[in-house]
Amino acid sequence: MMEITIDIEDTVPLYAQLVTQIKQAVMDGAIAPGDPLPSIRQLANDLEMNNKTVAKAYQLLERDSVIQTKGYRGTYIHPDARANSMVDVNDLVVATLEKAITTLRNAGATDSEIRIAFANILNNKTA
Amino acid sequence: MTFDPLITTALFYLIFLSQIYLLSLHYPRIMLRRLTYVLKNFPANDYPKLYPASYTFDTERKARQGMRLFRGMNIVIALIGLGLILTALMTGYRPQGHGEEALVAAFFVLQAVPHVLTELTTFKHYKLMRQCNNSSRRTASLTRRHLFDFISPVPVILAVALIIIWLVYFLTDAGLTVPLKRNVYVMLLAVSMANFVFVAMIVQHLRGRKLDPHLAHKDKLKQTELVIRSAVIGSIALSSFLIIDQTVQQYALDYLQPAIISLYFQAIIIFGPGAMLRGYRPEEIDFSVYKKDARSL
Repeated sequence: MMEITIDIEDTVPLYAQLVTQIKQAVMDGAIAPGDPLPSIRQLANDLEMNNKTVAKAYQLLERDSVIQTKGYRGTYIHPDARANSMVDVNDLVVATLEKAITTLRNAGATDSEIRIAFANILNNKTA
Repeated sequence: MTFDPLITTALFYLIFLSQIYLLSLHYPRIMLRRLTYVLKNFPANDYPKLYPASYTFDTERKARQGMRLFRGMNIVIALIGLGLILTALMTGYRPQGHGEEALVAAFFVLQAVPHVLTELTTFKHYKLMRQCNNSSRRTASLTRRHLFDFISPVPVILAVALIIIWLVYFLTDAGLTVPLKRNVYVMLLAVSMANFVFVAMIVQHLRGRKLDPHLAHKDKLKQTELVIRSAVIGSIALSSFLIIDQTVQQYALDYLQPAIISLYFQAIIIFGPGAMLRGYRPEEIDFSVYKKDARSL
């Protein structure tokens, strides 16, 4: 029986603690591909936290293909969860942005221009 | 169809006596024995999380006062029941089926009063436990709780089938003339509400919050299993009682109704709270979670 523990006073957001611990459990082999996960409501009630926090964690895990939702049947561990748990999307985002910002600075763009362009792209606006 | 009135009368007295014994003497004695065991073996000094109010008053003294009140109330109610039987015997009463079942039901409600008060006190105790739980750590199992992990599908299917059988039987007997009579609607509403309560109990234990924030995971699973079983058996008992009651009315066996309703009340107690008391023994509960430095589960 796999257990997770969250600390509500930790500076790390609750959803991030959940994501990390579920990924860790997958990497340790404590939960295997195809294993069912508790429903959002069950886990939220057991951990005495908001449903939205667990839903956010599940959403991120699904984006990273660590878990998959099979409609009304519930949420399961993804077949490629182990390999996908090792990929940290945050690291990828930071590395890619660092590279892009360096290129732009080398081309003469100011930080202010980069920020405005970045915000516009995120907000789907063209400059 | 008729039965020997002497036998049915004797049977009614025996069944009613059994109701008095079970609800007002037997189960209260088991409950008091459990509480005494807990107070003796898990005192507030060593298990402070079990006594969240111990900072404001002497919990053990208060608990013993409550136990004395519970014992006293049950003894008085048992004496009232015995008084009723004696009066009936002296006046030569024989069940006629002229509404005496209402008296049996009213006495059952009276017997339930100390138990309901105890339940309310327990809920208040759990609420206080949650309020006093200042641990920042929360632990949960990553195992999904599913209905059929706790009970075989057979009793669940039986419970649903019996509801359908009763519904068909009841509506056929009531006559399917539209609009239906008011008492038919009332009956349908009452049975739906009762089954809704059973379903709510199951959902609460499968998906809801833990009442006791410190309860060990294995104990939570055990509790869930027992509550689900009790709820399913409760629904089966209710439908069975309604089917039997309908049959009794059809065959003009109304004089059996007081005995049948008493048997029904005893069945729900034996298979409901009784099953909880039998299956969830304090000797098997993990009380270490209530120690001062125990990790919150």
